[in-house]
Amino acid sequence: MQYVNDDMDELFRRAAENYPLDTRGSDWEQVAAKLAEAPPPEPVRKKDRRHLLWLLLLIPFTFLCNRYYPIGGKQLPSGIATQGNPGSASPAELSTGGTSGPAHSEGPKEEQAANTPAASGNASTANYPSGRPQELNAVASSNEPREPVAGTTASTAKKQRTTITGGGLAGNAAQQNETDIGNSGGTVNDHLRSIDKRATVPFPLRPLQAGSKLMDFSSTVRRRQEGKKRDRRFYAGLVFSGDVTTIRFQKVEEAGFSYGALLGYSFNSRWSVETGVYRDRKSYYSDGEYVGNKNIYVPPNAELTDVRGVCTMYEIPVNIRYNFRSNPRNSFFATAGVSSYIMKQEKYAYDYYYFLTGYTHTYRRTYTNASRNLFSVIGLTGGYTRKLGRVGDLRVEPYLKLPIGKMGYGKLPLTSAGLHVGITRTLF
Amino acid sequence: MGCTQGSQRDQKWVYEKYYGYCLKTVFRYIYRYDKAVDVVNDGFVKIFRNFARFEYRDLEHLEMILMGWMRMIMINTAIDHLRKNNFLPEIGDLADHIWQQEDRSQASDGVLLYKELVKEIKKLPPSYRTVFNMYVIDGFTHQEIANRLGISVGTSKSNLSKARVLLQKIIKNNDEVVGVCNM
Repeated sequence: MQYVNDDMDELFRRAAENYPLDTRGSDWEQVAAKLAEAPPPEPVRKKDRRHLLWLLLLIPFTFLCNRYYPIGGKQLPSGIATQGNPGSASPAELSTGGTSGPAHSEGPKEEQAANTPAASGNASTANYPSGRPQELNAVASSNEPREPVAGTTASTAKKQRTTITGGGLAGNAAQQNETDIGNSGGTVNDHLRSIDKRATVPFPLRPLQAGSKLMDFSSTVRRRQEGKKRDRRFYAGLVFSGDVTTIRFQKVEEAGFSYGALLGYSFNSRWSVETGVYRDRKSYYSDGEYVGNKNIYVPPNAELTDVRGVCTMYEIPVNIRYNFRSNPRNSFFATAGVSSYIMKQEKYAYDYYYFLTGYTHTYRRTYTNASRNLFSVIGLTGGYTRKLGRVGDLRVEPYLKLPIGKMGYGKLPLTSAGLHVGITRTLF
Repeated sequence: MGCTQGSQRDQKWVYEKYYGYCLKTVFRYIYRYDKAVDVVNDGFVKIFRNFARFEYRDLEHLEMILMGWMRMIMINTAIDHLRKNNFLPEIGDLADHIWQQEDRSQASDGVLLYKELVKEIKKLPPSYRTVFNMYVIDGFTHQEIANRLGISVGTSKSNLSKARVLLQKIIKNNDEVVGVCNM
């Protein structure tokens, strides 16, 4: 088979080289016209704002910190207030401009320390010895016009001025400048020129390696990389579902429903994680023997025969989703995970059979916020999504929820099944 | 040098000299002749706009290196075109005028065969055709094909295998082809 393949491949290679195509239709004018047009602009990349979501986690953290470690009454070092000396202050204090607490009352001197370029919170300012900063501040904050360095524009000169207070190469040059200012009394312009000479290093030409691959600047690889990035996204949606709940697969008397919001994050085109908050209304029936709560009152000479319940709860699922088949228009997926039920209201109707009289009486009880059942249900779903244009994606998802433990005041194992229907939309 | 400096005269010379070579490369990927011509022209625009990036070390093989560079660009441009159309197959027969005039001499039998073989390649579904061209004729590895097309290596191998199966059926049905294979 391999030899057949090799022979066939060779045949097709010869065919590709020698097949008789009419190649006389070249149109240089068309190519010249396209060359004369401006090249298409590079696509503007949307800012990746997903990191902002993680900042939400800082909100409870700040509350906690504020509760247990209140800010207040903390004095800044006197050196900041009196001398306006950025060299003796920590960069963090400088970056806040010393605005916390009583330091604010120091007024103009504080503002001077905050407004100098050295007060940008850069760690390199800590390198300035205490004796020099006043002179540097005077230089850095002066408003005298500067001559642009030869060969540079005004904006470049502005960047050079900023680099005096920055780190790295310019920072080292700034230290040199400091010495020059102290010793030679040279002007800042001279030092800007010296920085310019040191900093202007042309990019080294890329040496051609032996056997280097021919350059490929195709947009195909870039699109693939962009496509990979597009797979990572947050999405959210609204979901509504019809629900039937049974206890140990006994009869179902009434259907329930659920509605809520879904939030998901896709790691790639296959895997996602989803959570959400749903408000469920479940209705169920059970024979009395399955009631797990022994604290439920049973009158003497009576037997609890039936229990009917209607429960309103909040459900918080955490699911892992896997896309079996996906393309830009639709996808088939499955999810598996666990859910927590936070019971808000449970209404029970207990039927008691009295042995002595032979009658059955019904007693009704309502329990509010009676129980929380964390990670008490395993959820399994399989679903289908379809793009609905700009609206988002239509999501249809049958589900099955199996109890891990017993739930609610009645300590009943609730098994639910239903159909989620919702609309989801990519956030970013 | 002239192309690097944007000399239209030199660019035109390069265009007319290598137009046929590039068209024959692209036409294996793109089904329709007129679309293939557009892709070739777009490819040349890319070539001339980025000629400064062309690097070579071996002056003796300059033309070969240049043709290889241009071929890569043409293939990538053709793949971009196919991806834009989601690799949807095109229908319709190929017009007769796109082929060179048939020569009735005996030596042209092989050329006619090559024409038929290329027509059969073009009849493959676009995804099979692309992988077959890239692997068998243009010498890409499956990993390179997977990276460029955004598919897995397994899919690349699967597409190649299916393309070969389809083409082998045609070869077996064609006695003339079997005769050439045995030569």
